[in-house]
Amino acid sequence: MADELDQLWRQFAEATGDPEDPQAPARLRSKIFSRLMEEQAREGPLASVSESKAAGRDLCVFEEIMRLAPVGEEIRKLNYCRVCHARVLAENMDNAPIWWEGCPYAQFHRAALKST
Amino acid sequence: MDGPPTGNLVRIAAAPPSGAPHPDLDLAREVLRKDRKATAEFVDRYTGPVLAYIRSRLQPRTEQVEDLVQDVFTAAWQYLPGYRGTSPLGAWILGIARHKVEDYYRSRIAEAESLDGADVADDGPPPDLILDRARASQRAQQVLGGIPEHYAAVLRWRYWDGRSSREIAQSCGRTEKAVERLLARARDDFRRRWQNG
Repeated sequence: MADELDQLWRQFAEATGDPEDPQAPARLRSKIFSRLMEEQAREGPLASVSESKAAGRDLCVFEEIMRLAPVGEEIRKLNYCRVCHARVLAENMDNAPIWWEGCPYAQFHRAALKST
Repeated sequence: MDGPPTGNLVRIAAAPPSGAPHPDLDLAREVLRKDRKATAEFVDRYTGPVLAYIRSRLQPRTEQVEDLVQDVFTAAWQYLPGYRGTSPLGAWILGIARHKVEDYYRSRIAEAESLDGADVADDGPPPDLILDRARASQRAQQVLGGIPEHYAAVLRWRYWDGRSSREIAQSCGRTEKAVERLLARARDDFRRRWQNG
């Protein structure tokens, strides 16, 4: 009897299962990205922007400048996003006015806009 | 076996042909190399499913949802070296989310003054479902949101997440009998509120 009851309740849970995935707010994606960047940078240098470019990834305008500038490779491994105003806007606004190509924060917000 | 245990929660991607690592392993490796753009892709891909799962388990008490989602990603970064590509990365990260939600359930049950109490005489089957799936799901969430938190936690843990009473008891440091009694009271309350609502 107890097993039967359990089975019925499991079927009930199955029939009232999880809702569809919602679109996560761009603000939340931005905060998570910033937190992961902080964690990664705390443990040592990031992959350099040159390596990202070589891997076929798009860079933002500032990262592209750093890639081309006559600076040491160590400088290209810094977490620039930490001091970028795009981060502040992206973490605090629902539709942040940032549109730069290659900027993860801008990408999160563009994706959120498209889905609305 | 990949890092932390995973649940059967995922509808993200099918497993690769046997023996071959999942293509998600490439993304995991890029994240581990600390490629900022790969990290952004990782966040972009999995925030939605993790948010959906955690929100569905905490509703209507959503004030902790975003903090928990962030904690899941921080834990994912810590455990990522253990990911071997034997399952989709989405399933793997939802396994971490499941553990975070279980911590939440455990704390709700622990806060209940006592799991002991009189047995419920009128424990019975779940309500009849005459609603379509979307409305039934909405209604179930509504009822779960209205019952005491430790009732909602034990019901979700047992039936929506499929853990046995023994596993719940071990996880909470209670007896299986105490968990069964709690479940009986929770089912009774759920049923009555469903019928009266």
